[in-house]
Amino acid sequence: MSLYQKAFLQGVAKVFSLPRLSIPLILTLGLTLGAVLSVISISSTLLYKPLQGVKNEASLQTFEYRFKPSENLSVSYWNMRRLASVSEYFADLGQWAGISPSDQDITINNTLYATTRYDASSNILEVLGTELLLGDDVTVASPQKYIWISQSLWQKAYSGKKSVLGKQITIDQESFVIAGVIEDVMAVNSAQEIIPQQVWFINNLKEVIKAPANVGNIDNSLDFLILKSEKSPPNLAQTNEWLTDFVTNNAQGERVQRFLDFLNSADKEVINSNYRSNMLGESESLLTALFAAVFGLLLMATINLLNLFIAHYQTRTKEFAIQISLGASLLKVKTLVLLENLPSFLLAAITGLLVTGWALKSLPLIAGESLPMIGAIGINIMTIIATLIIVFLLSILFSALALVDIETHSLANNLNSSGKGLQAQSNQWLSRLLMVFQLSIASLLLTASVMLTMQSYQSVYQDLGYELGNTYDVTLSFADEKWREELADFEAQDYQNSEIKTLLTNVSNLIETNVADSKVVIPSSAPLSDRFRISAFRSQEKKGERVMYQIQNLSPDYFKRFNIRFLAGTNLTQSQINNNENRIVIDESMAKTIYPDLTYQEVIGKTIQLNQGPDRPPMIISGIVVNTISRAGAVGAYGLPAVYTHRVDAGRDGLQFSVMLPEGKDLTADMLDPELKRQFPGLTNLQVRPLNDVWQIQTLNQRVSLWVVVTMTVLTLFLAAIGVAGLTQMTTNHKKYELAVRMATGAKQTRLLNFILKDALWMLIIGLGIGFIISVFGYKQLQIYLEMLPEFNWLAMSALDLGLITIVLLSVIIPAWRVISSEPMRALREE
Amino acid sequence: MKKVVAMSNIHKRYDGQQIETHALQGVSLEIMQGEFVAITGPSGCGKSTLLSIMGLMDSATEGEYHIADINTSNLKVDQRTQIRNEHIGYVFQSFNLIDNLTVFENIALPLEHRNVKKTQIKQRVEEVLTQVDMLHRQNYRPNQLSGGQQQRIAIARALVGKPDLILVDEPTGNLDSKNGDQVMLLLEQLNKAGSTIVMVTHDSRYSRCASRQIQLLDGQIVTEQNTMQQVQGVA
Repeated sequence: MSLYQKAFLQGVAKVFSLPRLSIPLILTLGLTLGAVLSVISISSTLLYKPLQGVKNEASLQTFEYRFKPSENLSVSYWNMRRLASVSEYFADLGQWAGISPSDQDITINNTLYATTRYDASSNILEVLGTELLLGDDVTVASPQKYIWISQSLWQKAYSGKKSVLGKQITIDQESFVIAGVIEDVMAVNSAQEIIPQQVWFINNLKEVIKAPANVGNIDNSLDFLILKSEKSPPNLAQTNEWLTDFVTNNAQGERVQRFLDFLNSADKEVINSNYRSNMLGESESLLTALFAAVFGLLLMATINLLNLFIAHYQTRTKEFAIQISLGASLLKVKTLVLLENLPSFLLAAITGLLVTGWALKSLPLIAGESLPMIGAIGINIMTIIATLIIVFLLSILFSALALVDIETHSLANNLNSSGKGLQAQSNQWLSRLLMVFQLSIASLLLTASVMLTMQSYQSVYQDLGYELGNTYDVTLSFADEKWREELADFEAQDYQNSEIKTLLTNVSNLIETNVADSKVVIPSSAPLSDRFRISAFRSQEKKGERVMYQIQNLSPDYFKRFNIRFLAGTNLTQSQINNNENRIVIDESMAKTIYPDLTYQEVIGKTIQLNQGPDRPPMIISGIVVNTISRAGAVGAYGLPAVYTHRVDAGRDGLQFSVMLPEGKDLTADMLDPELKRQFPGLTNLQVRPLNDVWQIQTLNQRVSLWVVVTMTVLTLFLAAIGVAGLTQMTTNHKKYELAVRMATGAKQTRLLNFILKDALWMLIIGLGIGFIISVFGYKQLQIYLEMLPEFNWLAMSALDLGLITIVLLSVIIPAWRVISSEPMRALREE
Repeated sequence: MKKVVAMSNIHKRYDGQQIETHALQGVSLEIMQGEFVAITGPSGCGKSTLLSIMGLMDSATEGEYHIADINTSNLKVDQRTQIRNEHIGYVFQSFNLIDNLTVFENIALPLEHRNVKKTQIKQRVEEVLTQVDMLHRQNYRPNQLSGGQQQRIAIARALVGKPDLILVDEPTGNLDSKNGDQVMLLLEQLNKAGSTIVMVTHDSRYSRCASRQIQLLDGQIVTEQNTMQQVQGVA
């Protein structure tokens, strides 16, 4: 058997016979490799894998036109009608298309299928380069009566039979004929998960453009437009010109100026990107951040293991020196070491791949619906190549540095040294250098993770300004869109007798009758609202300046039930609401915006002219409440002042009721469904969710990122701690003889501890010093590239450094104390 | 007679943190093929340092050293390794056997590093094991052997590559007198069979076995004498 084979087999045996070296290697490297490989797998899929169902990626651009009523709120202006207008206005630039994904449950042959619903323009297949597999093209003249289904749905629901064409499907009480089958399209920018079972609803832009345009409503049913062209999309000025043209051509009389005033009162932005970047959205910068983080962790783990290896190989220095003295070249000995370590590294690689596989399987649980192309992510060839490269490079590095103690020019030192005293410590500079490096990386990594942890914690557990209680969110959709439009059409003066008011009262009564002890606190989605309505008015107090605000709803006991505190004034009484009085409640932000110099008490009774016109009286301010956050989990509150009105309108997506029950009581859809169907056949899709569940859903991403970041922080601290502890152990072991002699000659334990501490302190000071400098400057640089990073927090940084210092000192003191508390003669005998 | 070692004005300095140690101060020395040279002197006189430099285990700070007509002054690490493998056999005071290899594998190492064929290695190792009377222990591990036996294995390992020069550092230092005598007898036999041996010892009993004695003091050769007035060797 050759020396090389022997070395390899010895390495296999070492996995079992030397667990204190092999287990940390396999576990630490395996786990960190798992983290690195997971990020590589995700990145390679997201950045390089061909987009399923989108063949024209190279020539596609996306175009967003967004209104920014406040710093933290950005709303798209696009819908199909506006796309139709843009297609004509900017026809010379190329082909414009639109697609909007949403969730849609459909029943086929009594089986319920969860699908992704695509509402798209009729040129979508041509623009994306998507294949029609069967049936009529989506460019048919009147596509409203038809739907197209995806290949997966075709296979699943119709076993791939061609007879699917012409079959009828009822969706939301409306019948559609299946006109064709389209290949699965998985690569679309979406807040929801895209699933392969898909239904397509097509809008013919030539017909859409004939429909009336609601110019004043910032209807964001399309988040972006797609432009297939080599030319650049329009800039902000050109798009603003289009907006003016669009409003002018689609509104009448004084409404033109009113709408333009409203639209121009908000900041606007144009965002152009390529199709893939648009689809990846924040995931791209998240990946970069993750890459940096896991690379840092890998570096720390490598340094730890390297120190462990150096410590191990220091005990075998003589063995290698003998080999070299007998004629083995240094390269040969390094190769032997490499082969000896290979089995452990291969096991670490296998562990890494297993961890990756497990992590990627758990990805939907961790990342939820926020990660695009999640179904396509898995261990691929790039992951395996990366594994081999990393493991191979690390093996070479380890075998090269493991022999650092061999003095090739002075083998006699290695061969004749007894290992005692100062000579045995001569090459610890490398371990110390590595430790300084590790502390610097730990400091940098911890800075970013602690800042992110604080941000995530604040966004999840911030004070919303109200208490949820045992409240349920009851939602209903309109079966008929025309009915919804009719319901929305009421004048403020006639609200009390309006159809919507009657409907809301009747449904509220139905709920309270059918669910014992229930109380419909408000017939809207407040306070945790999925719906966000904004408006603007000219403030006389601010010299006619436009003030944007969010419209919220109130009821007589709304504020009391949700424990929203009044700062001044009172809520509207039931009789004031019944009399349809022009009274409102505002929040403190609105009070400060309009009346910055008045006390809250002085604001009560003042009026705000929310709408212009002779038949639109000013609203009297009845009360001021604390600011609330209507959507939990947002990193920054939307920052728009709020006006609470008792006039509840019909939302675009349907009706929502906040129903409160005594603690311990439940509300389910079954309690309401039969009676609702009987009395209100025009309302469908009943859903009942506890508000606590809504909070859970809204804060999911932040809670996940909080846990991911906390895990990373703990892992970083753990790695730093075991690294320092390992080095101290090594240092004290090397100094065992010296320490024993000192102890034998009467040195006290505290003196010896000081002796060891002094050694660790300079590493701590230099490591943390460099880390501090890199953290402060590096973090500010990182912020430029990663918008997700919050503001630098000096207090957190100081607390973090204190934490690190404590951990390092403990890691030094504990192993050192163990050595110096033993009998001196024992150490001397061991030597 | 062929000149195996030629040292000229060899100096060796060790730089400490505050003091510099001048271990060898201008040592000049020639050793002919077939000689058995004993280097003696008190502790710290530079004996082991001289042997280390002779065995290319260490470098001289100053001076010239030729072994088998090769100037070693400006050689690279790998070249020095090759010379060590082909021309020098080194016997350490503490034996320096590798515990996780068998006796056979320990002895075979120099030949393995020279990429000699397996059959030849086996043949040669068995030859030297017979020579040191340890063939029956070839599958043992070093820690299963006595000190004297380990020293024999260390000598066998030094012999296996048929070196021009065998360097022996305190061969009896870690042995009792009985084992020490046996090892010395073995060295004498090897010398009679033609091996050139340089031995460092502080035991005058054994230094007298050598054909030439070199006495060091404070890093300098103070006396040099032929003890047996005879030189075994090949013309």
